[in-house]
Amino acid sequence: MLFSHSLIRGGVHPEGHKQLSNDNAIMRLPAPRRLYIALKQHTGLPAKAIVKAGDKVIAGQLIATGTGSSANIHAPQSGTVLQITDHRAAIPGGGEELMIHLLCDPEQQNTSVKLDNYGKSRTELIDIIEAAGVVGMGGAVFPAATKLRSTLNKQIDTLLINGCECEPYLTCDDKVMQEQSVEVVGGIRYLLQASGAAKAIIGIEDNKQLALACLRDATSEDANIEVKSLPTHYPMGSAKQFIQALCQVEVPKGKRSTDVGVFVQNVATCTAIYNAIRYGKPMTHRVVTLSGGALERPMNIEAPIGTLISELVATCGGLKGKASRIVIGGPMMGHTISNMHTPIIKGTSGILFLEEDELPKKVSSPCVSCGRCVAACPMGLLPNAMAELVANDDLEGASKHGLSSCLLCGSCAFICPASLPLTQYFNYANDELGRQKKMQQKAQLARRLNQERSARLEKEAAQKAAEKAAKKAQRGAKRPQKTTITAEQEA
Amino acid sequence: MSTLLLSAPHIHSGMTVSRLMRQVILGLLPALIFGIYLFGEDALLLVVAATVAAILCEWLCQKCQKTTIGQLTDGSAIVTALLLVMSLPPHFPWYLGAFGAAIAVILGKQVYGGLGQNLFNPAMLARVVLLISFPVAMTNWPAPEPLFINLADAFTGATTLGAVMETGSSQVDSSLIALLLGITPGSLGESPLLLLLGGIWMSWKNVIDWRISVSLIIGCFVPGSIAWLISPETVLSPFAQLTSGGLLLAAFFIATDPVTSPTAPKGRYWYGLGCGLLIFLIRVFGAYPEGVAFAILLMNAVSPLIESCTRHRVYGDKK
Repeated sequence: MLFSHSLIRGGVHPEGHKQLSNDNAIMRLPAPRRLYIALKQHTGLPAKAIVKAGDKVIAGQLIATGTGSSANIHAPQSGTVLQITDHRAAIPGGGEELMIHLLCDPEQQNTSVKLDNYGKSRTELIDIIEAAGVVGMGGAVFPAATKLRSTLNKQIDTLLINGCECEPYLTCDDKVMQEQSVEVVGGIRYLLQASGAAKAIIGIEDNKQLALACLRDATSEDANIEVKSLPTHYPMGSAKQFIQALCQVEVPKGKRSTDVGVFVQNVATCTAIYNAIRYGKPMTHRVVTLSGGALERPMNIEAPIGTLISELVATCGGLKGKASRIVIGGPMMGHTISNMHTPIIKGTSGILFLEEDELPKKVSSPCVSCGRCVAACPMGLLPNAMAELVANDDLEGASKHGLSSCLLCGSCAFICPASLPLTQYFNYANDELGRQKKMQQKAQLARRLNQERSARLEKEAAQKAAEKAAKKAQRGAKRPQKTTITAEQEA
Repeated sequence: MSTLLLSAPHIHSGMTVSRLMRQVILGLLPALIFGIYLFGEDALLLVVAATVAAILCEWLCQKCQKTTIGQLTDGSAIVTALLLVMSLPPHFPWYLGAFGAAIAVILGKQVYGGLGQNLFNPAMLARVVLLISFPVAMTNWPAPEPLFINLADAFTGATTLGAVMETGSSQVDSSLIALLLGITPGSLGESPLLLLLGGIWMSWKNVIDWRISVSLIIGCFVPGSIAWLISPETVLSPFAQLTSGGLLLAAFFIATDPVTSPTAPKGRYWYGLGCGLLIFLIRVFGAYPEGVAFAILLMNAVSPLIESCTRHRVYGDKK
């Protein structure tokens, strides 16, 4: 590794651990008894429930509508709504969220119909995707329709389909590409239509040879879809790095990928889009990787949204060792949870049960300025300098070093010989800056309101004074009359 | 179930600071062992005395100063002691070697706050202190007397660089093999071939950054060659320049000290070039025959400046 040329800057090469879970076919979970469907499937505002306790719903029925940045939610199974109340959620930091508790019927009604969606316009296709509640399944969980709609007034040249899955342990996208390549390619064709892009490139890391072969086979008749093998190099799957590797362009700071004429979507999202447009099937299921050294039989499971993690673990044969850490997502960027009785959401790509020896050691040693973090940063930042500034509470200085560009990809902390919690510093700093900004806005609002109030009070006082003066003047003029009246009244 | 809520990433490369130090020691060992072999039990005594002194001082400082950072077990004190002795005359009195190691650990590192806090390379700082305080002992270069091999002739009491400075002639007495292996009067760890071997191994293992090593060698080699072409009678041949003195020790083991060198790749090129150029300038124009320690200390001083002048572009910023 003395002289290595690479498509992206920095990055690291963590051990894959993919063989743990990619031997078996995706298992379809038999209908669970209960589902806990969170109204907040991603960051932003939660969806609004349109069913109430006691309602009977059938599979695929709309049960909550998206508001603002959120997406529609549909019932994954037929059943009865028990209640809509708070339940423990698999979110960073733990806590409860509003969820629809659904008691599933043993007998399932199927609503799937083959739809004739040929010749639809771009906006019509986007409307269908929106109605089906499709969100990006790569991790950001951004509503696919909102993202597509932003392309309507922009020129999109290339559609980039992200099949990198650069996070270790995760194999759900790999299995989807192998087993559902027809759906993936079908979804890409719809996406080409909906985004107006001339061509699509599917980028897959070269540690997924089977997926590469399957998609090359499935796209053999599509002249405008290309399958490209990318080196296995974390964080290749991060949108900015993915674009850089495939198109050799950088997304300018503060801009979106659509501003440079590319539109990025994850492979599993393509499947969801295909099912939505071709079969009118809303997004109610997803493939989740269950892996890690503590799990008896690691595998990929296609499960309804809202299935409890404990139920998925039971399907995998339970735990064989002590899970020292349960991680939602990949090991590089995922967050930990402390409770297995929490449901999966649309963005849950993996659940990892890591044993003690798979984890990093918890003690940090001093920084020796070795520069490994600088070399590993895919964004070209100086993590050591930034961390020192954050540690000294100089968030302003850290921002000047480009803190807002940090992807929180974890490459720096992964490589750090001193085991410094670099990502944690940046996560904290970003949160803190966001909080300070909010506080500032709040203070500004309060100041404005205060100013308005004092202005209003002044105005009122002035008005009152004017009225008083006017009255006084009036009184002065009418005094003789007034006195007589009072005299009469008194009399 | 008790699970700790800790932040991502949840996996780690496994590299630790103490492992880095161990690998540096491993990289040093061939040249060190060969040096002891060449210069006998006095050299061994010097190595042991300096190492023990360094460890003791490190332990003492960590006991006395509660705020100091770093652990005795991280091995940095041993690396410092070994780098110091490798740059000393092989028959340097052992108690002065121990004194030097104490200077290196206490004044070179611990007064700044411990591991990773120092501005100057501790070993080079101590070497300069010794050179100024004990000039006679520091310029006493015995001829190597390796076991098993008889090398009775051809050795004088001056190093290759020292001879050039004294006589003003670039005539090298030693043979090619002797220069390559370092079987000449000189410091304890000056075997070019073995230093190169250790350096390449460390670069391959990603322990050191090859950028500093390569640019340091270029920084000395290019002006050295030009000077030699202009005046071959008074300037050593480029090959002899590279193989003599502490150049390779500096290139692979001293300039690559992460604490005192810039962190960004671009800065490391400039840092290495600067070290190399200064070594050349001190050797040819300076009062001392060898200028590695001074060159390194001078570049240490400007390292933060280099760091701030060579900020690389952040992704998404204008090219």
